[in-house]
Amino acid sequence: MPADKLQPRNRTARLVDAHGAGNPVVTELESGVGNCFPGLEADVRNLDRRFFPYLVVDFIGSDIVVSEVALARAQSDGVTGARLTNLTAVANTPNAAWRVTSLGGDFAGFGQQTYAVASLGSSTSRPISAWTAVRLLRPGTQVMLTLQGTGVPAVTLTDTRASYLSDDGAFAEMFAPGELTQSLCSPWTHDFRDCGCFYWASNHPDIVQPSEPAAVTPDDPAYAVRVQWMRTDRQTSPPPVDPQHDQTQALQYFEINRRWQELDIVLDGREQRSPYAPGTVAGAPLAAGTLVPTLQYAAGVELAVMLEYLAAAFSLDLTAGAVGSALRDDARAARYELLRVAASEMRHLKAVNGLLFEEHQASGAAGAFVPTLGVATLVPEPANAPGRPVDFRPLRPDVLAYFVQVEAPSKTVDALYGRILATYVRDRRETQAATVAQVMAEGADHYVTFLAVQEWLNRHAGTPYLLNLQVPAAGDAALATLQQRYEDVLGHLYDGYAVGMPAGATAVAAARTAMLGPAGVEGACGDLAAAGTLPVFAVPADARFAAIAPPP
Amino acid sequence: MTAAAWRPFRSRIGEHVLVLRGTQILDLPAGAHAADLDPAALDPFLDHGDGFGLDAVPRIAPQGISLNVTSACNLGCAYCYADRGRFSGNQRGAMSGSTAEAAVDTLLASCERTARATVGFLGGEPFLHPALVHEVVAYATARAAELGQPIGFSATTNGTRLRPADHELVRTRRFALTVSIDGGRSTHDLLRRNLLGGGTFDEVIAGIAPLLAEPGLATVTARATVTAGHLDLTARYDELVAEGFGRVGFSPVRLGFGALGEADWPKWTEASTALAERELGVLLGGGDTGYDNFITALRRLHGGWSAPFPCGAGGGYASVSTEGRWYACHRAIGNEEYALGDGDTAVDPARQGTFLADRHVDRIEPCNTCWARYLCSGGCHQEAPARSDASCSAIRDWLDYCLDAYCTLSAARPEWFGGS
Repeated sequence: MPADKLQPRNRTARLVDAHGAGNPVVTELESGVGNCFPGLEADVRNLDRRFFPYLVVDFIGSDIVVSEVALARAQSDGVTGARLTNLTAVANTPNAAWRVTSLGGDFAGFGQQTYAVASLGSSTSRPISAWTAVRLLRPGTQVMLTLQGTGVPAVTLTDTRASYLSDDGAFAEMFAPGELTQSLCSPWTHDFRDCGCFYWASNHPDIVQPSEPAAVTPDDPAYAVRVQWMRTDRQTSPPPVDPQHDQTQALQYFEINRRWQELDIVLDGREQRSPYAPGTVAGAPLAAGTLVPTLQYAAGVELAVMLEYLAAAFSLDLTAGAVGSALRDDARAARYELLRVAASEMRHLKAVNGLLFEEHQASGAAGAFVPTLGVATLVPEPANAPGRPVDFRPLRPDVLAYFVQVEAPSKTVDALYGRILATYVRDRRETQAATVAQVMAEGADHYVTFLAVQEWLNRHAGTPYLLNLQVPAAGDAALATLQQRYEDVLGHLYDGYAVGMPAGATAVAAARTAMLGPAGVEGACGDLAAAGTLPVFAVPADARFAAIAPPP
Repeated sequence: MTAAAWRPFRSRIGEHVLVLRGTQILDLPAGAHAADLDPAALDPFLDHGDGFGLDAVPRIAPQGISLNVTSACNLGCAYCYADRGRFSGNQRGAMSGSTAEAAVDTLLASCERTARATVGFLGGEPFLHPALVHEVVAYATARAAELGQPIGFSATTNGTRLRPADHELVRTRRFALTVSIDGGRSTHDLLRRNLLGGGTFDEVIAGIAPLLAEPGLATVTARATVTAGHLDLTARYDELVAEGFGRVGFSPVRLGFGALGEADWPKWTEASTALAERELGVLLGGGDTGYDNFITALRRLHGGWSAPFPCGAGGGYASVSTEGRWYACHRAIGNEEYALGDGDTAVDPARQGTFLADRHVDRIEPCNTCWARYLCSGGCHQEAPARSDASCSAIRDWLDYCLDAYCTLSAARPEWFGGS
């Protein structure tokens, strides 16, 4: 024991902001992170190598292998009789490859048991591994081992389960220096294999899309599957279909030692086996003079998709299926989520008008600010597509797929905002950039939400969750009510946005009231749906709410 | 000879190092020996902060004063340092109210506002002039309240003249009352006699018993003077505890009548450590002790008390004579070497600085090479001439014992020392 590990005793000594010579405190095991994933600061499995007096074992796979017998220490400790004879038998035949074949003792939680080591992990009524079983043995209790060697008689040993700590609370002196850390990252591939889920210090993909062979058309749905990155079967034609979490499909410890170099580089969430060609870089800043028309168009898109979501939401049948059935739950959850996203789009409409208000103020232009409350004539589609007209449809699978596309990252609406964001970033307008970034982040949430809705509704064959709604006839009285209430909402919003926030807050609150409840847009949509009619919205005659075309 | 900066020692729980600056106490790991210690391991403790300010000569205004209320005493104890308050004719009469109030004003004008100021009453027997004591307590309390200054009081008394009004005064304030009582009746009456030569034990007990029964905010400590040949400390301690004292301290006479000689000091060590060892057993058993010298040593070791001066004399403490002159120490009234001012001023910073610089323990030989120098700090300035190998050994032996006791007790009952 070195004499220079000094412990301060009284108050003044404890004031010293220094430690005695030796390892810093962060290297002490109790301040480290240790578990059975051997990439951390200690491999706690090593604590159990010396669980049985005078034996050192290694946990190799599902085996407990004897690696050392401390016979001399047993003798000097005064071990005699059968105990010594048995230990001597093991020590004298080191080439017999001794293994522990059965373990008996008090296994915490499992009680007094005797387990065949080979049986461990075979059922939930036993410890899940040999190491776990050893760890469960209570220190100080009797343990009985059966040891089997090759070509020699089996040996039975009985002794007391060793404690990790010595009487003064230090790690028991039986551990050799370095023993607790000796297995760390050894080999590194084992640790790399086990450290999934963003735990590995560098990128370690868990789930990826498989590489697309050259002959396959890009974005082939057959390759849109998600598979384990560390799967053992690495062929990609036909496309792999292995279940993501089937560990039997994963590279095993010794397999990954030989095959780690086969693991593919992953870009854009997809394995890449040929030279990578980046797609068009989206999100270039907008040309001078086009920020305002682009924002105006974005406002129109928000309003357009909000109305589409609203119509689709009211196409869901809240009474589908039996009470408490998965169908009813899914239909209701889908309705709720669609309405939540629609409400979020209304906030985006307000945010974009806020940005437009600031542009107006900054330009110094004469005259009052004119809000944008028209519906976009076309909703953007993936790059180079012309866009599609606004369309009010029930939430059929193809419509939901459209919605997913609308909200998908780096596509359509997100791409539109990407350019607006790039413009603000270039111009170092941080507040505005933050507003746009927030809108985009919420768009990502919408995307994930719609994927979830897709998952819920796809569980049901056909569309049993939909009401059978007809497109309303012109002159439908309930439709006229809806249109009137919708235009009232727009009127309030116009008044509020025109003066900006916070002056316009009262008007915006009035708009919110006009949207919700039986007397609002919500009620009118419900009435139409109840009458078997899809809620749809016309472009108002009021010139303030004229449709907005995409910028040139 | 180079002064060692640290010293290994052994306690009943293991081996340790005492770093002298800051009285830092360190444990060696179990089984390790100080002989194997790499001195570099001590560097962080040796280089600690500003060296605990031990090199500096403080320039601080007094935080506490004692007022020599009177030169008169109703007792005639043979070993009295104060010559019954007359200080060999250097002090006469009694202090006037205006002198006392002026001293209080001076104290309160210059002391540190955030720390407690203390006004003490000495003599002579201060309670021969209770009216002045009451007047000064009232005055100082009021002045301190105006200034937002925390204040406490102290007095050393023979206890014989305490009356109910005095009890009430003491117990309603933070009053540290030290009662000069040497032990049970036979021990006490041996040397603490009245002017007619009679014993005074019964009078002391009569005067102090109501306070022992009901101390209120006050702390009452028995201070027993120990003379050569009467070193039965344990018996005396027990007698005083039996009379109701919760705290009992012992002061050996070092100079003059009854002073301990070379042959007495080992006996003093034996007696004081025997009592301490018995009380340590009580503490380890979960009980408490009232052995004041022992408590003080344990608490100082725990807190890492270390100082280049043995007391506040000339620094944080001054004593005011009946005439109103400020001295560094209450035992030096009339001694020009200890005068802090020139008669017009209470404290002259230059005189104060010189007084302290001359008495810094690092300038005193052989103290400046002794391992106990920042704990003992050279001992009482007044008693310096009585310093001897034997008396110094007694101090070191006591500290050695207390270091062992401290380590043992702090390991077993850390909570006894309070937080951290």
